[in-house]
Amino acid sequence: MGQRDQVLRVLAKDLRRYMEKLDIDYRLLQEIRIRADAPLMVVYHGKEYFVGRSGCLTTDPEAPVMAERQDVKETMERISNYSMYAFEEELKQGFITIQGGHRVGVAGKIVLEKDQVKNLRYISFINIRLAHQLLGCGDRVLPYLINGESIYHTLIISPPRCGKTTLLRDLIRQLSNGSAKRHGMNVGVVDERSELGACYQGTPQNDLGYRTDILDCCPKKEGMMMLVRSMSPNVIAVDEIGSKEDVEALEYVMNCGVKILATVHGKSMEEIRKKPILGRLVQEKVFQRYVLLSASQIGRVDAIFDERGTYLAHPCGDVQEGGEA
Amino acid sequence: MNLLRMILKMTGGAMVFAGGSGFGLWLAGKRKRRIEILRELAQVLILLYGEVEYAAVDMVEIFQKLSGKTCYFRGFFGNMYEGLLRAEDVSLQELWENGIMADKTAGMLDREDVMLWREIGMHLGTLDRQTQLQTLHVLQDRLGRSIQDAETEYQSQAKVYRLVGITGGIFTAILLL
Repeated sequence: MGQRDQVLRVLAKDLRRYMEKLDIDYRLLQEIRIRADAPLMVVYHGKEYFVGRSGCLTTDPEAPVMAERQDVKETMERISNYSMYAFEEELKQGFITIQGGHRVGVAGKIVLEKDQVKNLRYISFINIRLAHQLLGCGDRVLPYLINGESIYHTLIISPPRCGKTTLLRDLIRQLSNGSAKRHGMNVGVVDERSELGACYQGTPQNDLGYRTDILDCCPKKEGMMMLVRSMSPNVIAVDEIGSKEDVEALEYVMNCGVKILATVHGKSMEEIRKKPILGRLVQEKVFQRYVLLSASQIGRVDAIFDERGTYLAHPCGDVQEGGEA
Repeated sequence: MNLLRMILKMTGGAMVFAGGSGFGLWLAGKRKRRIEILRELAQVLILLYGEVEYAAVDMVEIFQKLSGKTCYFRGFFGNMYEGLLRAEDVSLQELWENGIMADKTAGMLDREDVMLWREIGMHLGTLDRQTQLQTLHVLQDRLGRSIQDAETEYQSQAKVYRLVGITGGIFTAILLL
């Protein structure tokens, strides 16, 4: 089933009718936003549009397709395969992963129990984020991370929505599969928010390589410990580290001889140095490679540094080059 | 000639008697079959409850399992499974309703039983786990009471149907003779 079909099949039939009319490249479609009693919107090729009744994208807010409450309800039923009870844990996190690895974020009324999110009711807002795996986007970066038969402890620094998860995904895949010149490695992935593997019913929807083991929807701290104890990884990959528990787990993993490939939110090395917890790791030169992604262009690598902050590579171009949706 | 007429009358009388008795037995059998179907529906609810509470698998998989584990509802759940797999422009509730109308099992049940069957489908899959389980629990209670009432009725009704069938058959045969 293609990406287009994977996404259209979960939409309410009234909304699907209009989306089917759109003549767009689904590889450039990033988000579909459905809000009760609000216009149907999409983010296409980095820009926001309304879906027009005539079957085209428009910036005119006067004549868009309106999503009704019933459309949101029907869409949620289709997304959950008429099994809302089966997605309680996912709804507590605020998202459901559907076939194809696309993430459906939901919002509505939160039900709390003892200050913890127990449930999400009256869902009125849906954001379908289409998964786009760019195979080969890590080609130019990987050679700087390789250290003999292993890799350096690596930290990818990037602002939000600038391609760090996409890059991490491809690096995992390439490390796992290896190449003609390099043997593949066992890579353990702690996929706390199901973004890397995008597992659907236990099966990863993204290609993370054939030597990769994934702990889906697992907290990073517990996940890293579990992988080290049970799966003999050569590399552990985690997305968006930052908390004290994450760092403690990282240090434990590194002491066990396992290499780390991690990402963190940030715009520069200076910003990371100033972070209270991660800053200590930077000062102690724990990480041996830093890959800095651009804030102004999605997927562009601004620089690669070593543990002392020395440039190893100047802006080495758009990591999307050589990649393929 | 008289002998032939006598034989024909006797044969006709026997057939009328058999028809009347058979009709009475058929009615009694129908009431018994109703109870069997309701018991199977109760089993379906138990299976649904277990799958929702412990396995938390999605409805498509549940319908596939139910199709394999039931007798009277095999066809119904088979169609539900295939209908959801095809992801047509029809909701689960519409599929359920259409499935009931097309299924011959519905013809073997009373109107209240069919309404209960409809109600099971109305709230399936759209509720959170706790509410779903509570709803199934309530339906299980109601169905349990329906089965009890049906069993109590059957004990008296079955005898009446058989008796009326047999005596009706005899009486009609005598009348015609």
